[in-house]
Amino acid sequence: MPVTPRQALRLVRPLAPAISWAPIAPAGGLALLLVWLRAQDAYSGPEELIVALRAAAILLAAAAAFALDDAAAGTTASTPSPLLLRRTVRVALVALPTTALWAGALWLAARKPLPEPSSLPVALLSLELATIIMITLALAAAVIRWGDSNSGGLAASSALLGLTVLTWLIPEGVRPWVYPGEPQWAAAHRWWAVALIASLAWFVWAGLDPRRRRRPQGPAGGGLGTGRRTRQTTGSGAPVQGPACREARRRAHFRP
Amino acid sequence: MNDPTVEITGLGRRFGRLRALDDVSFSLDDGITGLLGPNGAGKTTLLRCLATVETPDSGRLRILRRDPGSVSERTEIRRRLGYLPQEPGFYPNFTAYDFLDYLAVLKELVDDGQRRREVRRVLDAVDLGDRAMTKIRKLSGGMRRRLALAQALLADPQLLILDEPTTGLDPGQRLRFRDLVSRLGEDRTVLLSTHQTEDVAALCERVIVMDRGRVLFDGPPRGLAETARGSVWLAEQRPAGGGVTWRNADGRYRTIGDPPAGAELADPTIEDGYLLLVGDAALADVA
Amino acid sequence: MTAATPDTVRPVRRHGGLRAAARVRVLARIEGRRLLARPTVLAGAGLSLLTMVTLTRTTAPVLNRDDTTASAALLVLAAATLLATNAAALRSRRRATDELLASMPTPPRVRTLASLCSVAGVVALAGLLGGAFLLWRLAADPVTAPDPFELLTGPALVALGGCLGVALARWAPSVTVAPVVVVGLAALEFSVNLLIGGSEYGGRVKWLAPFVGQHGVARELLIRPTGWHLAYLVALVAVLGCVALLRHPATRPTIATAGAAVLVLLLAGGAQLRPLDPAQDPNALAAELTAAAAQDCEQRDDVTYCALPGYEPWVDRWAATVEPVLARLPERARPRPLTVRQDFLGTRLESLADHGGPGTAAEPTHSEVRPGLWRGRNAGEGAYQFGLALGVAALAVGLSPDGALSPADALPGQVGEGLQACTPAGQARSVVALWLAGQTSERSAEYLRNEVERQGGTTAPAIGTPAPEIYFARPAAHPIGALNFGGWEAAVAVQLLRQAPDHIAGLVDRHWDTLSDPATTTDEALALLGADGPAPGRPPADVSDPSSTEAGSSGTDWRLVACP
Repeated sequence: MPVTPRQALRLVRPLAPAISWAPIAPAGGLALLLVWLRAQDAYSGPEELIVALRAAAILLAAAAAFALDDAAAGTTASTPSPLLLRRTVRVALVALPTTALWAGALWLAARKPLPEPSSLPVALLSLELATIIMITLALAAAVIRWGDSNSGGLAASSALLGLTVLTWLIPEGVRPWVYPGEPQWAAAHRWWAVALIASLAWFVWAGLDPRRRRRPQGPAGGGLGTGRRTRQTTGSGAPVQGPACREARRRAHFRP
Repeated sequence: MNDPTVEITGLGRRFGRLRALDDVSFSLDDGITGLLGPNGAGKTTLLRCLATVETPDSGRLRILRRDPGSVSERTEIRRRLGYLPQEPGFYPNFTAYDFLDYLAVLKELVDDGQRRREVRRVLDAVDLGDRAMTKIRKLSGGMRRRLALAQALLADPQLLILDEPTTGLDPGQRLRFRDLVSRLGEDRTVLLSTHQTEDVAALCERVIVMDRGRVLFDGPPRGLAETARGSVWLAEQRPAGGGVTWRNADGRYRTIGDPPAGAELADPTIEDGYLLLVGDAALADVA
Repeated sequence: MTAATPDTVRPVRRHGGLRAAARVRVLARIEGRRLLARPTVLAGAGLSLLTMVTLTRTTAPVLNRDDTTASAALLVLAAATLLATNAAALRSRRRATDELLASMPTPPRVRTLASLCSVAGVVALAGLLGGAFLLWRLAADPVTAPDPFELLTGPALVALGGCLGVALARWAPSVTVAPVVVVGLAALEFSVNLLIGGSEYGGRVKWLAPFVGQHGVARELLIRPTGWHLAYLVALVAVLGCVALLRHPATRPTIATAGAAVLVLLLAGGAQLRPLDPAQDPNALAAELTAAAAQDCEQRDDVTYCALPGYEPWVDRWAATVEPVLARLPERARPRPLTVRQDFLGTRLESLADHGGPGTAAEPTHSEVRPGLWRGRNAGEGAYQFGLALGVAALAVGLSPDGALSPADALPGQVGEGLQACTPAGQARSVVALWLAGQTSERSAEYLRNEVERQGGTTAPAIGTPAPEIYFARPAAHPIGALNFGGWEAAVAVQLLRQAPDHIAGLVDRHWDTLSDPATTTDEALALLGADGPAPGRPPADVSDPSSTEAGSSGTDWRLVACP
């Protein structure tokens, strides 16, 4: 059954209280403080401001990492609402305050007089923020998928910090942290875009229902294992699987 | 005469408006006592009070001849206590051995050799000896239940409090559990809460039935069954009207209460006595 | 389950009245082993070691700076330890075993204490990493001596991270807290100067932060209260531990320890903030050390080498670079006298400039080359050798440090005074100097080739870049403190290096007077030296155009002129 926007909207109210909102406010507050401090400093130039904005992005990503943690994952796994839809709604909900905080950080940064307005490339820095958050969420999705449904955020935020240190240590020519005016500026952001798309694809893949990807296996000669879909019924003849069953589950889920 | 292991007088506990325990009084000695009751009867609250993790609001409680209200005596109680909670948590990345080893230290078994032997002993007692090095996240639900039981046996406690210990065990494991607990009950006090009346029948010398925070029955299991004598009926057809009725495995309908038309009197069981006492509240548990 | 016979259910001998210390010891051992096996801690240790190596592999060991580098790198392990101890201390909450553990005779306070003590293993690991790094540096001909207090700061930071993780778990029991705290602390640590202001010398308040870097300033000029800071950190560790324990009912030992720790914290913290006494002023120290260096100069043939105290082993390395340059020069062209005088101008000392310069340190003369307090090694050795050799070669071809940077009359339309920097780009002597520097060793030549290739021949490798600072000219307060020899000139020099050195040396000798004349152009040098094959492409005109102007980042306009 195709996913509809209405279905997504219906999930907003029940999912909102299930998200870990706690880290977003302190992370956002710290992020704004860091950027404000740099903007106030007379001796800081565009590069220092960009460093502060990047630190703010990492803070916001560390807080957003917990968006996918779900203590009831085992219970909700068998509901008709697809996992990917639920995760997307969670991410969309967290994106709202994150975007507002990022906009606030950019506004604070823009208040600092710079030699050239192009010293603060807002669009590309926002691309970096989106990529960092997406990578973190992709890591969280992977941990949840193959590990513990309630530890994705912790593992992903820890991995994010480790990755940040690692990217700072790699040779300058391949480091993602470049500055406007450097020859690799444009090329680096092409790689940022690639990383965004790749992490988004991973996030989607990790959210797909595993049954959709696995072919049923069993004895040959009929039933499962021949690759042909067979009709299984209960004792009374009602189908165990099939449209009627899915419809029943859908009605049960969306009972008013 | 020795003081009883557990002595409860007028115990009360409220959670807001809800009276989880209401003037509960009884005492326990060595042997196995079963605690029966529908969901919300107060069994878990009572067990938590006896395990010293919950504090009653009123009444008097003495455990192992000590007052759990005093910090030092509470610690002494905990040294001699084994508790299996209704929902024991686990550390998924620990092995079964590591988990028991950790809890054994918390039970003050600090000597490495002694602790090692004790952990092995309880693992063997619950038939998990060959799974000692398996991570808990790879154990089945039944194995985890057995692991939880094993931790309650650490340090050979004088008082064992088991909250629904057979949940998740298959019939064979349940039989072996009965054998283990029956031997443990020979020289210590065991209080176990269960929904399985067969366990009560097989294990317990005494059964306490609770509902809505109150004790409704305290006596031998046979006595609980006898309370329903003359009130249990078997009929071929589902009787019309009210009463507690359900369908047996043999296809006949068993009724407790007034005799339905055409029904014959049946010998009561512990379950009949329990249902007669707690009425509709327990019907959902049975159905 | 096996049949439990009475024989197997033996009563266990009780240990009544156990001291909590025994439980803490055993629990700490269990927790410590698990902590050391956590992927977070292992990754943190690996990243710390990688950081130490990455930051220092291209520079020669200078142990009075490497010790701070080791501590800085261990901040990564400290952060990892914070995350790991926090997760471990929250384990019972995350896995819903609080009820089970509440029925145990061991109180939660003992578990918290054990969690705190479990950090000892990771602290030992930090010590091992620092020790291994130090041994690695010791094996590569180090100079100066490390500060033992500085070396112990790294493990103390790890202990701090661990205790903070436990304290957070007790007072803010949520897994979401620790990652945000780590990033926030890291960002604030690097912004400490913004928070409390002050220059490197005046801002003693920054010592209240857990870690204070050297900010590229010479260690010899910067009095770091490392002993007091270590005591401060240890006291901070104790305070955090007590904060964690005070989440439970307070005991007398905890309160007493907390009181003592706070006292030590205040004492040590206050001691760090004491103002320097006049003898410790950086200017005075610089003058004293420079004078000491002047007294212990070493004469080798016609060259005088003056190393600062502790850097004497570097004289051999300098000589190995300088002598090949002199050997290719015509006898009459050798700068006499020539002094290789190490000084502090190679470090970032804007504040010294604010204070009017390094006191009695002599201004660069026509016959001096001044290496700084860094020396290149491995991949950085080529740049270092090239830079030092280029300094000597520049003197030989008549480039003067006095002309490199000087005040200029205000340019039309300019507000205030201007500065002008000279460049030998476009001059034949630039090619000669570059060739002389490149031919001293294979590494030197390789460096020049790589720079030309990397920069596309359009910008020049200025002396002193990329890593070691060897300033030919006064750095002053201007960001441009080195000469720009020209990208095309560098490309021509690379071509000359492909030919036999003796052959080029002969041509240089024969045409020295012409080649060293400022009026001789690069084109003429090509003809005289007969570079093989077609001439390298000229760079765009505006790069080597001496009349171009640029705005400096400090706001002062300056312009390029041809060096006299």
